[in-house]
Amino acid sequence: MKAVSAMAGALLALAAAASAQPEIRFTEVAEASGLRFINMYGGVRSKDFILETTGSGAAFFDYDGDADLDLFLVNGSRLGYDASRSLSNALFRNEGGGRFREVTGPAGLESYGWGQGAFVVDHENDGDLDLLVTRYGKNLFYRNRGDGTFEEAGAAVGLDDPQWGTGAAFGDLDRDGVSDLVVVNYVDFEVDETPRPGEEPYCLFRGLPVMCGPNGLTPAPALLYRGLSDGRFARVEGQAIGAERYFGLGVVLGDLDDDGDLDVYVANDQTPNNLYRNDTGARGFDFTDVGLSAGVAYNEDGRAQAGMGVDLGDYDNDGLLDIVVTNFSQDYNTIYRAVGGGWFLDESFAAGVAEPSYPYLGWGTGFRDLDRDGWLDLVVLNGHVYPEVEGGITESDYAQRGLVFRNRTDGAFDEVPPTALEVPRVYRGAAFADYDDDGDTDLLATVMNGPPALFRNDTDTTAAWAGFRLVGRRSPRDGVGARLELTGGALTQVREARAAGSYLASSDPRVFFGLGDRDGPFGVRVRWLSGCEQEIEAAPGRYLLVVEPPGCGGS
Amino acid sequence: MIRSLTAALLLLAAPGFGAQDPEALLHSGQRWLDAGNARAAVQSFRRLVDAVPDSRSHYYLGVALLQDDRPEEAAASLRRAEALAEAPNPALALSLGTALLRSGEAEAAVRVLEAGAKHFPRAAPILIQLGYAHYTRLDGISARAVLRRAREVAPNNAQAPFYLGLAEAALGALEPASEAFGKAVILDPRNFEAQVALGRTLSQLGRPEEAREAYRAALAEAPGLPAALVGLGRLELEEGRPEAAVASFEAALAADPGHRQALYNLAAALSLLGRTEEAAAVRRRFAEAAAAGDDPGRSLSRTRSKARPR
Repeated sequence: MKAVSAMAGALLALAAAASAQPEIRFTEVAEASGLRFINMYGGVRSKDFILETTGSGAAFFDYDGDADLDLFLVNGSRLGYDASRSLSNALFRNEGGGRFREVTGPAGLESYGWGQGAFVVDHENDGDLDLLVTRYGKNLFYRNRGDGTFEEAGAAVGLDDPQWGTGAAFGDLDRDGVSDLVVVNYVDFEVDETPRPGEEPYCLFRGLPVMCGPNGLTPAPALLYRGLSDGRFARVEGQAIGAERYFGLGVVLGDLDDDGDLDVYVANDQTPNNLYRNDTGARGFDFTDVGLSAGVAYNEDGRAQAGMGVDLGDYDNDGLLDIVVTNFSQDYNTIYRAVGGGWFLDESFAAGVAEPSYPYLGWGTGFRDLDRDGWLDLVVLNGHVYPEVEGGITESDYAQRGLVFRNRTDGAFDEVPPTALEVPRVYRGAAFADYDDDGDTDLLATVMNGPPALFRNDTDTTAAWAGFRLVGRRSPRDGVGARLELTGGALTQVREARAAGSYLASSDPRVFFGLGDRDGPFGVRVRWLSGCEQEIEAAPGRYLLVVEPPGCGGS
Repeated sequence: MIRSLTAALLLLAAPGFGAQDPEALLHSGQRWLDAGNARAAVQSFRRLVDAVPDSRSHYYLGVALLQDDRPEEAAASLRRAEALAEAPNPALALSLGTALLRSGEAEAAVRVLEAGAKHFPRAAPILIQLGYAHYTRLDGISARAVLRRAREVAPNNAQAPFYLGLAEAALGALEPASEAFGKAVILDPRNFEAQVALGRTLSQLGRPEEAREAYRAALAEAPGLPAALVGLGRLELEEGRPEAAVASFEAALAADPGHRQALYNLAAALSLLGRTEEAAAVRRRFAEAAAAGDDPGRSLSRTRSKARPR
């Protein structure tokens, strides 16, 4: 009888806990926040070339060092348009109180062209964040002068590659304290040499003439750069990264084999994804593509999907980083769950994210703890590539809604009402940040040929939280790559400091922990890329500055 | 050798051989078709076309070519039959649609089958083939609509729910897919493809025991069926039994050494067991199989100009 009562009590407690889950809620506040920006990207009602389909991204970063996150929005162009008819990239300064003000001109960031992604680094470890803009055409590198202005220095630092750059990620791959860089390229593309809609079998979609590719076109190789201490970057050749051509779109860095350095994961469209295991040592860079052997190149059928966006996160709180990749419609978004030993299994269906994703064509994505319960939730933004499908010939239109998945805490997710994300838009990039510093993760979504959407997280929860802003000494100053482990209590959470990921985007590099009902001080173990390990005690409810101890790590 | 000799003798014995009697040639070809010798049927019907180049002759030739696995030639012959026909013919529409589909011309197949379905809205085979054509061109919505109509028109036809299940699964509608596959196996318990599809869908729905049952039913009908063995292996893998998974994938490969899905998953299972060298060897086999199917595309000029803003 006693056992029965105990069980009943446990069930009641579980039921109470379930019913106590707050509704994950977003409010769209872009215009109210002062984000007046229109993205221009290729044709609106039809697109003749694949160039017109990828869209542009965004970056949250503190460009002026005032401790809040500003926002950089990338713009595109239109075929045949010159600068006089195009729209510029834009920088919005965070004025506090949830308001932004445009400062593009004064900051020296006005630029036109087929912009793709925006990626942030403190390259010279001087405390000022620099900015890389990937493009169809020469990539741009904006060096932060430290006075709120930038100078374009792509050629000077060696980053002005002219290919079609899409995703990129900075990180200290050789652990020398200076950030290195991976840029993925999409298609070796030339308008004059590309068939027009309907001219080839691969230029049809359900009988409709549409832009051609990427199948049938030539993939492009990725680029690996070593960051030099003098502020320049040097191309590194002869490595697995760049040895083969893929239709690269998304790239993210993380310690996927938990050996203390950053590995490189690339989401490729129509071609197998790559996991470049980092074995870099004293003899220089050493990468091996272990995507196939690790189980993250293909889906469970051994089939290459159409990778677009990508993120890493330990969604099952087992201490190992898992991977999410967004894919084309009538296919599913893939979750590769780490099972230890550097192996992964495609558990997309078991995780509950596959079935809801079929009607949608996914782009920006992120594992984020939206309700602060200590478990990573998942957001996916969608939008078709063909405007021509508008009008009901597909399972969803050109403009599509976003998907929000709440972590059920048992290894699976439930799709929940996406509140403001239910409005269909032609989404592309997704940058995550607590831009209003209120202790939850907000979302900036870029929209093709439209204004961006800023989704303020208004989830009504009393759950505690804590955040960490990292400053490296032997490790890169921006802290990217540091691994934090929250210890004690019922849950052990592992998070990494990361900015680049999702799709064409750079997010809040601060490390955020939802703490659920935990209160009072708690311990955090920090493992810096230098090898330095640090134990700190933290308290909920604020962002804590964590500086790498001097003389710690390395030899 | 014996078969071709027999075929020759049969052909010699066929009424009308050597003559130009159209009816004799027609009967000869039909007999070859009934006997399963499509090549001989093609010869008879070619002579029939030479003798009487009308719609009917081209139709029979097209059907024989289709059965002889020459879909492009079949489509050409059936096109001529269509052009010469005085009125729409459901069998012709179905054959031509099938030939086009098997030639990789899904768009043309859809057009032909849609026209056929318009003239013969209760012709379930046309509707089913049209639904399948939509499915192959990744148009799940159209496939679903047409196949639902086929199911209404012919509620006892086991093909309609099977293909409807495929369309539903392609749309990610797993519950309706499992219902459709379930209906297909009730109508035709010997349809092992439907059993496998049912197993896969149930597995994706998180119902492993029912999935296992469906895979086993498929194996009872088709012992050694690789797709069913791979499905069982995946269940073992997901349930943390890589040894059992390895056995299942190896059994699948015994039946089909180049089965990509089996190779891919076997490598994963071997890796999980720490049998890294064996895993690497299997991965090489998978990579070869994958490379044979991958075509990143033809080369285009690496220069660029016009698309960039001036």
